[in-house]
Amino acid sequence: MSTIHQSEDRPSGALSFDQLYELYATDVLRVSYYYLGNRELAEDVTQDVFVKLISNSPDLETGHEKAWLLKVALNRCRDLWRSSWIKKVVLGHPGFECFPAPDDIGSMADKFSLAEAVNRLKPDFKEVVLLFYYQGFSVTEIAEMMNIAEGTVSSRLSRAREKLQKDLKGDDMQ
Amino acid sequence: MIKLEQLREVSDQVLSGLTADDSLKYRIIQNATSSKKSHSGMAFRPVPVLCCVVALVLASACLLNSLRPVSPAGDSEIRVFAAGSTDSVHTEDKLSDRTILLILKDITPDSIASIELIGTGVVTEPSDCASLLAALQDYAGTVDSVSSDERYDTVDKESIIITMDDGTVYKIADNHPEFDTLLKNMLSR
Repeated sequence: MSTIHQSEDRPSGALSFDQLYELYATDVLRVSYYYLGNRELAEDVTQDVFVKLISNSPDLETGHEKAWLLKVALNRCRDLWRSSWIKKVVLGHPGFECFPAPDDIGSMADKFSLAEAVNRLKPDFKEVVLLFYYQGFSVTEIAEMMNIAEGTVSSRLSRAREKLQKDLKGDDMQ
Repeated sequence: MIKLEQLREVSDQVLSGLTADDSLKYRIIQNATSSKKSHSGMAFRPVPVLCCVVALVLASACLLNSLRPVSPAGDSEIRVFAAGSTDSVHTEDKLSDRTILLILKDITPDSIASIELIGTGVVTEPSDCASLLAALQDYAGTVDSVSSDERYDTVDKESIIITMDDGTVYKIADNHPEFDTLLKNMLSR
């Protein structure tokens, strides 16, 4: 399952805050946005993640910086998701919208549908789908990041695919 | 049909307008700088710490001498209840609309330390506490119009907790949308 991804070009050597922000902040922001469906909250999460990076100066293993940033971001998203305030005020009123660049606005209905369907997944499914299909981590890496068994990751991916397939009424999402 | 394997490409297109820009970076740096400053201000200072410990011990000793139960146990005076919750269940069968009204009339805004809605937030500003209390008193006044099933929030088990300056705690089952909205508006200011 993990073979469908090409390994990303990961930077080597200790990276500065500026470099990490440049490389990964947008990914953190977009993954958080997928999770929460709210731009302001996603920006807050991104801010928290990078403030934590500066304040705690964690000893990040080279090549694992992105995994650390996304893990912290998903933990923060999960905390927010569990708060009844967020559920009632923000998530109670689904507001996931797409932000295409002005030139890209056109016949993108299918793409919007897929993005919205991913946003509608349950948190457990959404996390693995975003890490696997969007951020290109392998099942093993995801299991390590989320501290769960590889089998659990695979099973969640499989169930998420089924759910998305039903949701999108397609049959080629195998 | 779009495939899930194209999620990266799709996301890059549909969310291409959502990027971490310089303003967010500036916010992060500002925030990190201020949090570092506040941490550096928390260096260990032995004399003030010792003074605080002594004061705490003395205050605890005084408090222990004058300790009284938070919830008076008398049958005629129900001070704490949480219908729909697991604690204080023994008082549930004694609840009545009049009880809610009675409790809320006993509370005055100037002696409220905080008003909290579990999972939502806490308000401690006196003027905000007064507004919330007024809303609750209205709620209690019109409670007859709410059916018993709706009145107590058994789904989210949320409660309004009013803590008074003297330590008395009032716990009231919540499902009142106006109160909820009012509290959220205050917290979002």
